[in-house]
Amino acid sequence: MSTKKRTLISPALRAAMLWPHTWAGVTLGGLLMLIFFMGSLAVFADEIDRWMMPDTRIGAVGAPAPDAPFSLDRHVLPVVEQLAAGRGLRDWYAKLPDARRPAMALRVRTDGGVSGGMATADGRLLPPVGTLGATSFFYPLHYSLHLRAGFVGYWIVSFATVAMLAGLISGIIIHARIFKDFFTFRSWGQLRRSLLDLHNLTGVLVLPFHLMISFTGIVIILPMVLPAGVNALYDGDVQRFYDDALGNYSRPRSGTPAPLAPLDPMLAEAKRLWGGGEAAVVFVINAGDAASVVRLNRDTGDRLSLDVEPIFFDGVTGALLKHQRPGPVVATHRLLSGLHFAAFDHWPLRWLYFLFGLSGCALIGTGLLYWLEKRRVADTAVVGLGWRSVGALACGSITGLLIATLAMMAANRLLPADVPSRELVEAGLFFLAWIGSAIHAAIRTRRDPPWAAQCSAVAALAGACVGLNWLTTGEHPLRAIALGDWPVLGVDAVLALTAWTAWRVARRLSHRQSHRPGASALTMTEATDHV
Amino acid sequence: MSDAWAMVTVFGLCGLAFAGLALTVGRHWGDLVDRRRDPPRRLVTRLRLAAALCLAAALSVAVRHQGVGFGLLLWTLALSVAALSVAAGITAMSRPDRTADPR
Repeated sequence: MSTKKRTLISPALRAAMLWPHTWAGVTLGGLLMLIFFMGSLAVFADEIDRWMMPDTRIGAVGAPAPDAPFSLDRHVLPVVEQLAAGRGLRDWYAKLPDARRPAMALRVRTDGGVSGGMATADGRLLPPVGTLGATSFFYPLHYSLHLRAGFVGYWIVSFATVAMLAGLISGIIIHARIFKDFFTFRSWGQLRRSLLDLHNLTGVLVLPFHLMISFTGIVIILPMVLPAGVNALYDGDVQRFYDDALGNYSRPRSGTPAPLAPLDPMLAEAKRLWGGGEAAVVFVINAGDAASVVRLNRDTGDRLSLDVEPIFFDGVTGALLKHQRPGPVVATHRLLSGLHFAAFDHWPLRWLYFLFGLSGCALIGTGLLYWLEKRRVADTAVVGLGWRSVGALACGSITGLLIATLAMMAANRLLPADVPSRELVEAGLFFLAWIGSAIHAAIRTRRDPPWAAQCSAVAALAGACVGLNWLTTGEHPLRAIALGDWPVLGVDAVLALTAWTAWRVARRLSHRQSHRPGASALTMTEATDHV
Repeated sequence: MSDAWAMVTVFGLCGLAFAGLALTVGRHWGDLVDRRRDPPRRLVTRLRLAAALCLAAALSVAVRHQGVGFGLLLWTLALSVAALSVAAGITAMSRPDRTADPR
């Protein structure tokens, strides 16, 4: 095996792969850390939403549906009218309640702007949530960095993702003894060796997941990244392409007012066409117009594929407009997208996605730390500007990112409900906390980045989040268990685990520093090991 | 067999498979079993065969209980979980302060 491999991968190839691997890691490591971390949070976006929006903690998750059967006409339409508040309604959509998210989420576009809200399954509008939550803040940060103008953020993320793929494959080529070191993690001895062991371990053993998630991540936005086909066949008209490929339907507003036909018969017809399965989202486009269109998406909880099987009805007559099954290429695209989204109803897989997403953070983090350890100048007080920059970058993207996320969650529980533009204040605090910790890291990185201080901050903030959730909503762990409110309990448990781990790491680090001045941060691996 | 038991079986079989494979690696054999000589050839072959059988059995359980798509996905991710757990176990068992001769 080894002789064969030696001829397969020459030392020259290995050396050639090393510098792009290193440069990609050092330059894009921070960005990839953000993408992986936010992607991991997005797996549990609904649960974090429930934690951040206490008013939506209605009904225990998994509780049976309310007595009266759910009706679009009686339970959804009145809420839409309420949200429109007399302004001319243009389009709206509602994510329908299900066992995992018992509150429905609505978004309404009127002549006077866009408004959104959450409502109970029996049609009671809940007070404004006052937060973007995980669904509208952490999750978009994962794929667009909130830079939507000109799809700049999407391009940056896809560039980083390609670099991740290149990093994974070049890493495998560089790794000289994959099979001999397959299970090796020497947590003792030299820190540098432990870091490299951990880097190799997460890189090799979780490789199937990392390859899959990076590849499918690009596949989702393939029409944007590789636009040649759409340009040649549709003159670059993406809307027409999506209409054709995904079975979408669109038509312009006619300008003639007309009432909306009852929605419930359409829902029943859609369920019949799907042959079982529940509706997940209802859209009404051109509401109140003669050209109005009703779109129903199927829930994908029972399948891997993200094929939502959209069904389109005429909003005035209720007649079926379009129900098109995807062709083989689109079906493949939907399957690959589904593998990435993990929208399926499967708790073990959700946890595995979450943990392996974090293992991606560990992979990137140990890579950065290994780079730092390898280039540490022994026993000199002065380190170069490059070393200090990477040190500050690593610190800002590992502990800084945790601090920012936790600061936003703490602010979510601390800010009063009547703060103007509360959701933007929260988001602003996220970025302020992040910039603050990055500046702190940049200033304090001398012989070491300020790991201990920032780990203490992580521990304090995570602990504060658990405490604040208790104080402001009265939902302490015991009560959550009694109510069977597993999402809130789960978020609290992960926060508590983060606090405990960060506190232990901080203590060990400061202990070592006070006993052996100049000694390296031996337990930093632990900081990247958890959330 | 209930879903929970199927899950335990899939992860357990994958763990067994990787534990067997880990013993065929010289370094871990040395740390855990016998530092003086390498694992016998025949034992290595048998362990590899047993590991392959365990992995195949895990795949079959996963596919039977979860369907082809979910089963394959779960099995693939279970491989990583099992391998990481085995690595963690080896680390815990072969720390120099635990073994007979500290370096």
